Amino acid sequence: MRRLILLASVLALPATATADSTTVWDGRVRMGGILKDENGDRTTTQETFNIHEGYSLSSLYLNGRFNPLTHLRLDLTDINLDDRRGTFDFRKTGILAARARYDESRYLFDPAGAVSASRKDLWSTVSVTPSRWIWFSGDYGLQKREGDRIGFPEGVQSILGSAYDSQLHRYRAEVQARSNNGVGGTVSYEQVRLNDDLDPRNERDGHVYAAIVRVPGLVYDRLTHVVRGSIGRSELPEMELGYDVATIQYTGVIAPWRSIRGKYRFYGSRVEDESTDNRTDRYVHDGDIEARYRDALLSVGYGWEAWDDDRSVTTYDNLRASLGVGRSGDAVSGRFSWSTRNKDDEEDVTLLRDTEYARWDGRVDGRLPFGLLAGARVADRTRKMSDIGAEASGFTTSAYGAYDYEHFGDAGLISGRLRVDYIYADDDFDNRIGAYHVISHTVVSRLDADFHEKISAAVAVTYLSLGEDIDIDKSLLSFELGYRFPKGFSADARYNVYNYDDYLVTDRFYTANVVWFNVGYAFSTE
Amino acid sequence: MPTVRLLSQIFIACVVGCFAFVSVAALSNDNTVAETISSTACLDCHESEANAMAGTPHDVASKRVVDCLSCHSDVRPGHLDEPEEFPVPSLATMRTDSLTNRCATCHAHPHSLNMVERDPHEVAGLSCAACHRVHDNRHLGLLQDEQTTLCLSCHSSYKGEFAMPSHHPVMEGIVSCADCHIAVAQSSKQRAASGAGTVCTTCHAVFEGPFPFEHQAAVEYSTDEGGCLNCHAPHGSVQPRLLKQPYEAPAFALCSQCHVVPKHQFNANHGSMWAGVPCNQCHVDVHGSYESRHLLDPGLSVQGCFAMGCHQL
Repeated sequence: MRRLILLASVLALPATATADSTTVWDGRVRMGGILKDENGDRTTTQETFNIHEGYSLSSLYLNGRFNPLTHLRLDLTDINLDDRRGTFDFRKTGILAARARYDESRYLFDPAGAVSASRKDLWSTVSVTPSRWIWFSGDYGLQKREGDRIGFPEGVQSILGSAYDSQLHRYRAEVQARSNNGVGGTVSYEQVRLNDDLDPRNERDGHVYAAIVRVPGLVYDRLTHVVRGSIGRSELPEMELGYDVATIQYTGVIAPWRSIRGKYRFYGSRVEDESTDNRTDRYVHDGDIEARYRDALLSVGYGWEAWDDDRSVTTYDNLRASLGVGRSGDAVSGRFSWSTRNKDDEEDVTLLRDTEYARWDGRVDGRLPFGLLAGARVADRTRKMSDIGAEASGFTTSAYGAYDYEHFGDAGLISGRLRVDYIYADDDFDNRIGAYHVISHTVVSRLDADFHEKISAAVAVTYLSLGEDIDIDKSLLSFELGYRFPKGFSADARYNVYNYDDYLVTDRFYTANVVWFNVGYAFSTE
Repeated sequence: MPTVRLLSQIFIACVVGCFAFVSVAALSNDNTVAETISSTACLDCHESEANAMAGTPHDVASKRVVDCLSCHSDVRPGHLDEPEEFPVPSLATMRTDSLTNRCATCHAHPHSLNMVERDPHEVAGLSCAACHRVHDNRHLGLLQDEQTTLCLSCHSSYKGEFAMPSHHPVMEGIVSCADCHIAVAQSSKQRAASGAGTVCTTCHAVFEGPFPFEHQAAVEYSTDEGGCLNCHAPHGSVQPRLLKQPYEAPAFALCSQCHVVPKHQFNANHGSMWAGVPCNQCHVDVHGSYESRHLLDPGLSVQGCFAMGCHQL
């Protein structure tokens, strides 16, 4: 977070130095506190892992425009608490853009919440556009993990040990070139470095060179070629092991008429792994044909894929089809899709042997009378490994309804929005030994309302019921209220109640009451 | 290694050749319509559009990167005098692939090219405009709404998975949909041959391998269908650590979806000492081991387990 604020300061100073009469600042600051009361097993409810009790500078938002082309934005949240996060943007339109993001979070491992690990993520990127034909960009990411952990199930020691102390660095540089007629290309380099202060065996290096070339045909929009390729290596210096990867990919798109389009893809890759002393080649040939009539789109495709290493060869057949009618926002729109993917173990030497996948799903969305939006979706998927006697299937259906309300009264506008989602899921696993079956019902609902441009209120409910081989109820109830005073001042409060009950495992319950309260001030020099 | 070296040389030759081609193409480019109509002429009538885009990368008034004709390239010159007779075709109602091609003219990065190559949104008839709005927008990435809200407005069934006891903290704002799903697209499959594991190890790098002793179920480039999603549900699960099935007695469902070892599970020879213990009590390094072909705990050798009998190595 300190780096983020430092970066913001460094870039803000020259920007403010160029400020003139066209400079506009707007922003807001909110401060208050958080009260948290919890009982039971802290590990059951991830939603409260990163709620920290105490006084807080809840939000600091600053947006500046120094001349028509220079912009700065800083958005910080809970910077004095351990869940602090922020984003920073600086842009000189068409020349330079810099963006940074910081985020801090923790994960709890034991019921009392005493064993925890923190994760700190910093991500930053800069892009420079000296002319419209060329674009340079670079990224840097740092992820730090620190703290203690408990293996799962409790008592088991894993490769990760009982603590974290690692830093993951990621660097990337990219050059893009492009022309007005759509011809373009990209070359990039990426390096990853993991430092583990607790176990040097985990340390690893990786780097990838990649390129993409895009060449539309002579007839724009009718014929397009995209070629991409990469080479890379990932290695464990301590173990003196690594693997090399090379990929090549071609996509050709042809649209001879407006209503018909064809697409062909080839994908090839080779992995040479020093740990298994194995070379794995993969080839994919994939084709699709699409036909359009008004707002209907029919798509049919077939793909053939082969994996070949020194030990075995497996091939896949992939069939797919979909039909969509209408566009998002139409009175009625819908889509149905179906696909299968079957693996053939040519020499019967892999553990899983032949497998069959199938899935279909359909959805319909519509605008009903009185401004009501509604929709539903059904999805079904199966994976059969007949040779070893295992099968997994899942069925999900969901429905939603949303309603917007606006009414101008004597005192001003009253508006509201209600959205309710219901999700049913049935997951069934028939394993080589035994079976596992879970059915879940989830309701997610939220009502927002604004009264006379001064008062805002919201109520939200999330309820989850899990049954069959387990028996768990979980819920979140939330109430929000805000008031806007004159001259940019405001006050708001939120009250959340969390509940978790496992009816099969003793002492696996959790209840938490959390209150947020803030006062705020918003300003603008415009 | 020689193969990789050869591929490297071919790759570098391709890159140099393609960039030479791109450079020639860029120099030979002409845009006759753009020469005919400038943004200044557009803004005489469409001033509100210019104000709406001020401060965004599409700030047409600044003419630094784009002008109106960069996107609305099919405006006919007659539009200036007879706008109703020569209307500007709407980009929002354009065919998906046509609009994608239009955007990719400038946005030639992997995300937009995925839409050309293979992307479920594109196949579903959704173009760039389904998620991004160029005019009048202050959201990051010119998204139509805050990212999680936008994604879940269509993919609402995932609200159920994110409510599960173990989940990626998307609703808490710690992880965003794009953290995984932008990266999962075709373009990022450069490090591993395929699959979602490439995405997972972006954060969980310690599992990337290669390990001296791999668990095939975790290796993306395995002919035995490896990958993180064999055992983990990426959005959310009722089981801890995003596991798809229980990792506990009596059936150890997670492992027994693929494995059944005669006289191994429920083996009376272990007596009560090992009855009902989880598989990873012994096979500790299920993601891959530095020590053991069977992913076993090195500490077991001290107990003499590997010296003789069933476990002799």
